[in-house]
Amino acid sequence: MPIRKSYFFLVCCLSILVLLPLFIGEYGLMILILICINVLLASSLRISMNAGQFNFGIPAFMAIGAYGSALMTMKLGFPPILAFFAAGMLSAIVSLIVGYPSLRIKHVYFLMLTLGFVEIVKALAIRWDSLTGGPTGLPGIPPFSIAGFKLVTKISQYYFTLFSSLVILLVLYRLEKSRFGLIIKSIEQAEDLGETVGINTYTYKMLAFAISSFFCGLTGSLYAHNMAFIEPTLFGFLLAIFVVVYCFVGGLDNFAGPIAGAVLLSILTEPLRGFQAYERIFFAIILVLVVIFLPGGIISLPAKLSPSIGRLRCIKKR
Amino acid sequence: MAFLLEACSVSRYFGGLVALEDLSFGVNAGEIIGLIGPNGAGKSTLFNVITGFYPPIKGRIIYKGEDIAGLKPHQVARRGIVRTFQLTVLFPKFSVMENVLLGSHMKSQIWRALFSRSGIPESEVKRANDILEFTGLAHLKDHMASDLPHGHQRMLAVAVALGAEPELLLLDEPVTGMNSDEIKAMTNLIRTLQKTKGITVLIVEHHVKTIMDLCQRIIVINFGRKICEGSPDEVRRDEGVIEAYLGREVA
Repeated sequence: MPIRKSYFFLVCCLSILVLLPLFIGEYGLMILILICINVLLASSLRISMNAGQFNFGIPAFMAIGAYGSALMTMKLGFPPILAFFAAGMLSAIVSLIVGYPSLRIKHVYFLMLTLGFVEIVKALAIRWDSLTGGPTGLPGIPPFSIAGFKLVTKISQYYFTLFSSLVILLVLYRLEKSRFGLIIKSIEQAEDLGETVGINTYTYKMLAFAISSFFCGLTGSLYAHNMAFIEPTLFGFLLAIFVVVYCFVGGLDNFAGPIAGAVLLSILTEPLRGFQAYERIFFAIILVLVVIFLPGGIISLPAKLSPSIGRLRCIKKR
Repeated sequence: MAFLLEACSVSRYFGGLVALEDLSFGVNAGEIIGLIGPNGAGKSTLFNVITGFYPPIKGRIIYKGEDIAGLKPHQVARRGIVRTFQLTVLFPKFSVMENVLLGSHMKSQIWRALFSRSGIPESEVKRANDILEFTGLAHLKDHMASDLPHGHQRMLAVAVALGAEPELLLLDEPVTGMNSDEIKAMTNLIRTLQKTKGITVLIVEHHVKTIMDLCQRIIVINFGRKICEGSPDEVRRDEGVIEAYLGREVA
């Protein structure tokens, strides 16, 4: 029965999402697009977190995807859809280079290296202004076009982003439920045991990192072609923290956790847009509250409120 | 007949601490060999060196004619050597079934793993069920590993190792903390592994009765060195062994 309930819930959400543009204006649609972006980032981080890796490099790979895709269309004349996938591949390849040394060493150093990499990418974006437009950013990024039809209106961009997000989330979900996902999650729990039964944990950590970066790159491209403008400060240390907080507040035990966290926090912080200091304080307070009172994240709330759901979850906790 | 596994003058130091010194022994295929010694003698270190968790500083480890010293643990596992751990190591958040399925990882290729959308293939589920039957854990297969009582957890650790279809099984204190029924079950299991599946077993254990009952040969080490090797009776009577465990009588 719970399976039926989830499907019903999903269908409801989907219908609402599809019908929303009838009720909200351009500003609201832009917010929704940004929420999709945040959801994708949080879900991409989840793959790394499943392997027990605190991947703070998310903004860097999003930046590579965003700038890569923008430059491929503007300077190399790629059609945006092609640039979209190419940007993902570019991010994945760079992540393999970054991961090669940093996934061999102790976990905490991986965290620091990814943070450092974020700064490197941001610095590159600022200094290499002949390529990236420097600190003033890169304006005039062409929109996606499908069969010659340019997606210039917010509504068309919204539907395209929504569709892409759903496809990406479906792929991520299948990945997590497959044997690959099982192996990834085993690394977080008992890496030595995995090695003992022949699992090359290093290879799987690299794969998880590369897949996470691939989808970050796609997300960066989505952002670039929808917003038409990108600049270096978007892809900084703070974004890395925010995405991690989305995951924790949403809950790491469930695929929908990061999604819920991203949606909730994006909506709650929207009024604070432009008041950077308050935004950060708000995030900090929410994180502390969740860690103290709801360690499983928002997604654990239904189980806590209704004992029958809780009992079902107890036997098969993933 | 050549040894299945042979350690040749293996030495391992941790800074100034001598964990293993010039240790040499051989294991024949199909044997059950016991490895005993006081605490801190180097037994677990030896397991770690054999299975690649760290390499020996000196010496060679020959398995089926190949020197495997310095290989990574997963490479050693792929050659057919699987170990269990002294402190129970399982995947705590996974179910018993999932634990065993992960154990049989090697039997599925990585690419199939990546693209297998339909979950786990039937044949692998069947194999896992067979192992669970064999180890007496089938009725617990959906329980979370961390919820199991200690004795069942240690049996599960062996089940996970069996999932990897080892030729040589290294068991590190398998019956620690078990009651006499559980010890009997484990002992029977090990004997059955030898008889019906031809698995060679190298077992570290402090429980004297288990070692004496099960093993054809026993190797005794102390302070990283081999001090005796022979049948259970020979070892029981050896002076050096008695001194290692009980100390020398002050005249």
